[in-house]
Amino acid sequence: MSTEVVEILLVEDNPFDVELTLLALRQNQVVNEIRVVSDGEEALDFLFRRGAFSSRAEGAPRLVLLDLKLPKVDGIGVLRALKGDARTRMIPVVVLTSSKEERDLVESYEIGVNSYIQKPVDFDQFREVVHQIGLYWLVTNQNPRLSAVPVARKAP
Amino acid sequence: MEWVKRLFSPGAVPPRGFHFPQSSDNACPAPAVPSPMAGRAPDVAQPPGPETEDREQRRHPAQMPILASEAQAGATAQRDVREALHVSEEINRHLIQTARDFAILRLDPQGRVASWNDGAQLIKGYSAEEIIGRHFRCFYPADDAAAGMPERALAQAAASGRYAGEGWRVRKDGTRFWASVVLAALRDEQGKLLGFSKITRDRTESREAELALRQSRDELEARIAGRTADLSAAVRVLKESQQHLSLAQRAGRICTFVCSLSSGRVTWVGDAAMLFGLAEGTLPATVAEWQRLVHPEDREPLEEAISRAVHTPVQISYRVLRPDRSAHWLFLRAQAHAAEDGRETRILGVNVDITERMRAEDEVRALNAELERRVAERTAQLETANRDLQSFTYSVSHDLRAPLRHIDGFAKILLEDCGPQLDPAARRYLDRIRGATGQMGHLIDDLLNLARVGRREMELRPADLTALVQKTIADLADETAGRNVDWRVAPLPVVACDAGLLGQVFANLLSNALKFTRPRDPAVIEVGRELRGGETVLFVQDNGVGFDPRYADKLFGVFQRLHPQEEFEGTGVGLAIVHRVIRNHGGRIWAEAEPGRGAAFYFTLPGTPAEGSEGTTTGGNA
Repeated sequence: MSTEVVEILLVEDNPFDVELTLLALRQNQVVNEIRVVSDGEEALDFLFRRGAFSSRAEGAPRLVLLDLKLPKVDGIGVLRALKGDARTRMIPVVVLTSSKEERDLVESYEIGVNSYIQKPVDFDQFREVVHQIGLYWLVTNQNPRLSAVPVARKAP
Repeated sequence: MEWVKRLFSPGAVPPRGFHFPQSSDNACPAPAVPSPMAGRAPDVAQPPGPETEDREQRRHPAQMPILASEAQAGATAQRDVREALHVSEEINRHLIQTARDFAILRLDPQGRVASWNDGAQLIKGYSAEEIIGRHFRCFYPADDAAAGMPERALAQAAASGRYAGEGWRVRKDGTRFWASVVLAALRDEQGKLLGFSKITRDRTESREAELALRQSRDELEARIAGRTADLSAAVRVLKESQQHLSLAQRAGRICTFVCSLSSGRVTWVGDAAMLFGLAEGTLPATVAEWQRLVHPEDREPLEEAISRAVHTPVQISYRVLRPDRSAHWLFLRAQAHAAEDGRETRILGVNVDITERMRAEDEVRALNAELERRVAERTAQLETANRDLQSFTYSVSHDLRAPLRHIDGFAKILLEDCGPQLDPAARRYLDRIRGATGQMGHLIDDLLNLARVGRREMELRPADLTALVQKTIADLADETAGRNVDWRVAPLPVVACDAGLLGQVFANLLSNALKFTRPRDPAVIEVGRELRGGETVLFVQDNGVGFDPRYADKLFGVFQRLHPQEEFEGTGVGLAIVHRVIRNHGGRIWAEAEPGRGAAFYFTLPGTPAEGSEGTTTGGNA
């Protein structure tokens, strides 16, 4: 696999949403390395460096943009796995979803989501939201040095 | 008459016959010597006496002085007889003289006293000297004497030979006594009247005793009659009550029983046959026989109950199997009862046929079970429906919005990237696409809100409606920007409600009011309360465009709109949400309006206090 340092992991199964989100990120001058995975299992494999991602270079992304409605393992399952593991607990996760269902919101916060954002229908508003996310989580907010966090290694 | 028996002892020589002495001697022999020998010695004089009255009465008077004279051979024999006769007469005279219980006297043919014995003196009080020669009339009470009773008695005795009677007599001292009197005529051989013998007894005491006896007998008879009447009345009542009891037991399908603990024998009272389905006379006579009629499963509990009844009252429901194998439920209630002699303890109790009741209870149980099953089924259906609805709204929330975002997103990108190459018509079409997707997004959001209102569990807490309205007005700042709005908020009460949902009610009503007052300057929007029919009614009133009241009932339906979209935007869901919230609070909502003259929305909330209990926030213009 590539050796690039992934800064943003976008977990999104809908290609239109992927395209629009990436467009919005680029238009907001977010030029960080973005990795897209299309289901929850792939996301977990990537984060825990297993399966197809077992040879991935060390290092956690600086931000995870997580859809909730996903094939295989859904967004809540991914969030639970991330926040339930000491190695990944500190990675900021922003839920970016169509739904503003109360139970999703409450459950996400109970598990420890860092932000919960409903994607607006209006693209202008969506672009603004993406801009804010990038600005806040990648620029304004101070993260612990995630690269120092021990991430699962492949046995030598 | 011991003295008579002694007198005629077997050794005594029976007199063969004699002439009644005719002497007028004081101590003349009384004619009334009673003799049990009468009939056996017809030749002996048998003057009437108290004990021989009946027999004597039947005898002809001519026969009385019997004179038997037979020529006897031998003077010696005659002398012996005379001697014996003399002795006998002496004895008789003595007896008469000393008889104390009888007044024995002789009267001359005129009725004057001719002889007087000791008994006469004792009974009547006269001495012989005083009375001899006096007419016996003096023994009668004055009235009787005046009425001629003494003479009549004498006449009767003279005519028929005898007079017997009872009546009052007078003693010398004037006191009275009840006398039993017998008078007998004395005649010589030729039938000439010599006088009368008279025997009198004082029967006062025995008469009194008799009277007392009669009275007590009468009383006793009266009491017996009374008792008998009482008793027959009691018997009648008892019979009646027994009949009633029997009828009642039959009607109530009840029978009582008595069970002897020592013998195990059972006695049934009432219609036990009916209860057991047996013929009369084949009823169980012992507990063991009774047990054989009981359903096998219930035998042990019944036995246990009966043995427990010795110590404490028991009750048990058990089944009996009738000869036709049908099971009938009986309810038994029993307790021990010591017999009156205190020696034996018996179990007394009742059996009641409760088959019908058990059947009814079974039916009720079955109905309840069925009902519960149906409720559970229905609940499951509703839960399923609710889950379906939730997953539906979840899908709507997730999946319907996504394509809208995509349409809007790509339309926007197209406009941005290729805008300059597009002619104005194409750009306008793209704008319309984006407008439509926006509208669709609002629709979806509103529908989801409406679904959420129906689903949400309400949390009722006292909320200050005035504060709620003020906050809503503040939230509407964006929409009022640049407009001249006159808010008039009256003091509102504190009401127990779900503040979140009520906030949505005010938000929808106030933004509605804002929307429809857009052509007004100033827009006047009033929030207040008034009393209608004793009920506090809250209202939101505006001076907007109003609506045709004919369609007032359509206002609260989902997607119902009374104005064209171009004039006043909206999804037609807002008032449906308001309606649902008010309804869920148990209140009512309605609207009043006229086209062009504003609209007013009224609603009630249960538990809204009357005037004078406003919240702390004072109303005013915003």
